[in-house]
Amino acid sequence: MVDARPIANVIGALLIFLATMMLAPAVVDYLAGLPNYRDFLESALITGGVGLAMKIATANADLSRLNTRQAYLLTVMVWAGLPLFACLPFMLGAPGLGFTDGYFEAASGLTTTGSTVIVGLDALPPGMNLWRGMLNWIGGLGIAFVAMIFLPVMRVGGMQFFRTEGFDTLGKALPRATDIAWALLGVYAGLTALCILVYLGLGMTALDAVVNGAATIATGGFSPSDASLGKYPGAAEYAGAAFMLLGSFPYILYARMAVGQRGAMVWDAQVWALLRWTAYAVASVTLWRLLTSDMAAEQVFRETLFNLVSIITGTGFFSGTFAAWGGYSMAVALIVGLIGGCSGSSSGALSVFRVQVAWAAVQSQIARIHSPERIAPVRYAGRRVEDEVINALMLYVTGYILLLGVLTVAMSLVGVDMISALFGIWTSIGNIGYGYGPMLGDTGTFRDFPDAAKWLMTLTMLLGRLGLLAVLVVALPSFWRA
Amino acid sequence: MTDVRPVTYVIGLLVATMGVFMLFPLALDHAAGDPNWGAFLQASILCLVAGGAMALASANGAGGSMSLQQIFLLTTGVWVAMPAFGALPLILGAPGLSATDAMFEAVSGMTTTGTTVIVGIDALPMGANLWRGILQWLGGLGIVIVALLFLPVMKVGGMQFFRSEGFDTLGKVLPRALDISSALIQIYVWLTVACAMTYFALGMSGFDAVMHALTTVSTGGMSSYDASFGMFQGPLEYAAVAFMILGSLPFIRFVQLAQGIFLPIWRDPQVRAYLRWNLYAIIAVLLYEVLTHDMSISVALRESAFNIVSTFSGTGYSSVDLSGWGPFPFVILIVVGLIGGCTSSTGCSVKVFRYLILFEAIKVQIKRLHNPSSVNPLRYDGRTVGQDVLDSVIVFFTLFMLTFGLLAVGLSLTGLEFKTAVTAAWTSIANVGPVFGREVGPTGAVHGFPDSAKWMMMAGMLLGRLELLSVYVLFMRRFWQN
Repeated sequence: MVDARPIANVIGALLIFLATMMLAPAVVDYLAGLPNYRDFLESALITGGVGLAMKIATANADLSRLNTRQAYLLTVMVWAGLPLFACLPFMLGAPGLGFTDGYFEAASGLTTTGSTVIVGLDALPPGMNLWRGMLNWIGGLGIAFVAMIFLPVMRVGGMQFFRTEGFDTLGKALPRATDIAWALLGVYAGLTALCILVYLGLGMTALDAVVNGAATIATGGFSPSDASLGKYPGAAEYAGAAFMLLGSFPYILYARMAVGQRGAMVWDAQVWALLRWTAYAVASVTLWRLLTSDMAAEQVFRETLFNLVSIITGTGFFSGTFAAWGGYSMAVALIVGLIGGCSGSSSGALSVFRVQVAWAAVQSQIARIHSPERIAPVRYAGRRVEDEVINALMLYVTGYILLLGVLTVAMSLVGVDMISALFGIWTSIGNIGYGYGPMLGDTGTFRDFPDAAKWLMTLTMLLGRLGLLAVLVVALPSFWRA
Repeated sequence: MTDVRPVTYVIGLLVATMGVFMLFPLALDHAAGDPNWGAFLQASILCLVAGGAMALASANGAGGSMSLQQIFLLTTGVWVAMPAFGALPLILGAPGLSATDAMFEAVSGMTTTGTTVIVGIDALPMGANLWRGILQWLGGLGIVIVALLFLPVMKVGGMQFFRSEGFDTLGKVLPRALDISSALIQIYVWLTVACAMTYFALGMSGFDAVMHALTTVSTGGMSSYDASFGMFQGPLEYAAVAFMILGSLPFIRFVQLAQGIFLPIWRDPQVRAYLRWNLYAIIAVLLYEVLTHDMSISVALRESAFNIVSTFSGTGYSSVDLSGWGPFPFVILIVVGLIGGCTSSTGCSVKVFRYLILFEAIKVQIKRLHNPSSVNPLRYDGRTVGQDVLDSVIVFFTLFMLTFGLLAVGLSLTGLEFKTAVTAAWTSIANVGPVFGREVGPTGAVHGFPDSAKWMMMAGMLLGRLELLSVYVLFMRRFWQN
């Protein structure tokens, strides 16, 4: 049996942290003179109380001997458990959501998906919008941390490629984890601050700049307006696109740049591929829309750039008239959304790294068909990729596609039409945030989806966020045996 | 440079054979007093002359064994050349199609897809309809032979797993190829005859029985009516279900059965999985229909069984308006279409075998995640699956989905709306038949598609039919060197 105490201990600590965080929106709403601040205080008390109780009850836990199995369980429990408490303000306070909607909103925030069920965001108390932005931000930070430290050790979906020396077991990784976490936090906070300042400079209100800035760097996509970033058309869209891209680069590269390896970012294979593919997608869709509509060229380019970057990075901000772009744009959007940002960042989906290696593996297979005796090793960024990594990675890609199919079936079973179901699962599994299809109606949100569909999407967000396998492993009976 | 003479020799012979087959519709139309027989006469002469000339011109290079390269060239060459000649009667004669449309109809026929561009099929001369049936029948027969003899040697998509002893090099295959082909042809003919007689006994006219038997056993799906199989509601649908399933089971098992060996077909995991999944899908759709619509169980059972099996096997008949079925059955249809029949059958798409291997591999991978030291060899049908088989299966799957995606993007680029583009890509690459969407005519014909879309669909059908890789290889520069 797995010793659950270290897990409960860590979660307890995180809950106390979450409760502390709730004080920020409470202060904001109090200063704004809104009664909503009481709800945040109440939520903070509940969350903090439970967290403290868990922490005390498991005070004898030995954190230094966390094994792989506990690491799995911890990762899954954190992302499934925190939304339970993070949704309290939504239920007690202003939008007055039910449990399904509240959990959906909180999970969508913490997984940096950015799909929302709330209509009338502009009318929410500022604290509530701040809380949504904070959820994105905390989730993005958490996932960047997990992606850098846990996933490589857990060998999920080929991530063992990124194991560095002295990092290949959890025992060795954890002592250094604190250093990494601090470096990461520094970069993350720095980028966010920069983004907020730029947004402020471009004329956003303070609240909008803070929430949008936090959601941009987290590649989350919660915005304090129903029009999303479309509320500020123009320069803010260009700035948003730039910062979304910055947020979807591997964080380890920032850390390496900070310690003096200036070339780290410039020479990274993933970063270049992401930029190249984004450029192709944006160029082709811009051309297509120029030819098929009579909008001004600059506006077409700006909208296309902003929305496609938002999709490929898995952010989920939107602007303009995405739903009316026509078949080709939609198909391109679907595909770039499946690719996603870089491994080791807060963005989701398959990741550029996996797509690149999968493509290299496919090429080497084709080469082997007509000259079977030739052995063409798969190389990535100059390094040879071992068979074990390729295997894990290819099966990850396969599992991803299969799951996309199975979950779309499940969505359609609860009464969602095919297009809405496909895009709903696509957005959840890739932690993107966009929706498309008749069921979104004119609100552009997931409010009108059946409850069962919302739970399916919530589950899918968690699956996508934690690299599918981490969740599936925990669901395996043999995981719990000896 | 590869010697193409053996390839053109075989293609020439096959084209001439096709000229002979044109005598059937010629005789039929002549007997019916329809002037359309002239078109078949012209086409037949053209085929005989062109094919004969081609064979004669390259006769000096023929004979002996073929190299792997020549096999690859032959496979794709046959499926490009045959439809080009098979399209002639449709241009010269009755529907008077344009070159694009006629080629589309012939490719759709020879790849056993079954999508049509003809509206007003009921009014066509019998000969033209018979010719459409014959195209499908020949295509179905051709693919069974290719799947059984060529693909295992070509090592395409994991098919090397089915190399049996004494079968692993080309030199050994060809001498026995004739025996095996003749056994296959016999079984194929008997199945067709049995199907035609069953149809006739259940009340079809003689011509309809033959026409539909030709397209049922080949899992093709063309019909002599705009209403497709909807003309024959009732017991005939169950008969069609049975024969469509027979057509999508591995033909090698029938060969064994004919030799009195019963166990293999009983024990074949592929056959079992295929039947089981068919059953699950039918039951799921049946339940959904009965619970959500006010439908009697017998009607719901018949409709769901017929349409599920028709799509699963890649036949593509329809009996009712599928779009009225609601989201869940529709998505199920899309999914079963992406699974397809068994290997070495006339069925299409990814095929059951590959899914079984993939599921096993994912299971093994997940087990290894939390227990890295354990060694779980991948097993299928009691045999260990080699790494190279697994690799090619995964690569096949990835390429299949990739091609599907790119095809959908390409199709939407021609101006088709998203749903139409996706289902058109789906139907082409999985060789199913029906397309759904606004641009599709009320009878399911795609005559309204732009020409560029039709050519893309043809490419998709050929790729899907020939298991992708055997075509892709031709586009590698290295294939032509050496």
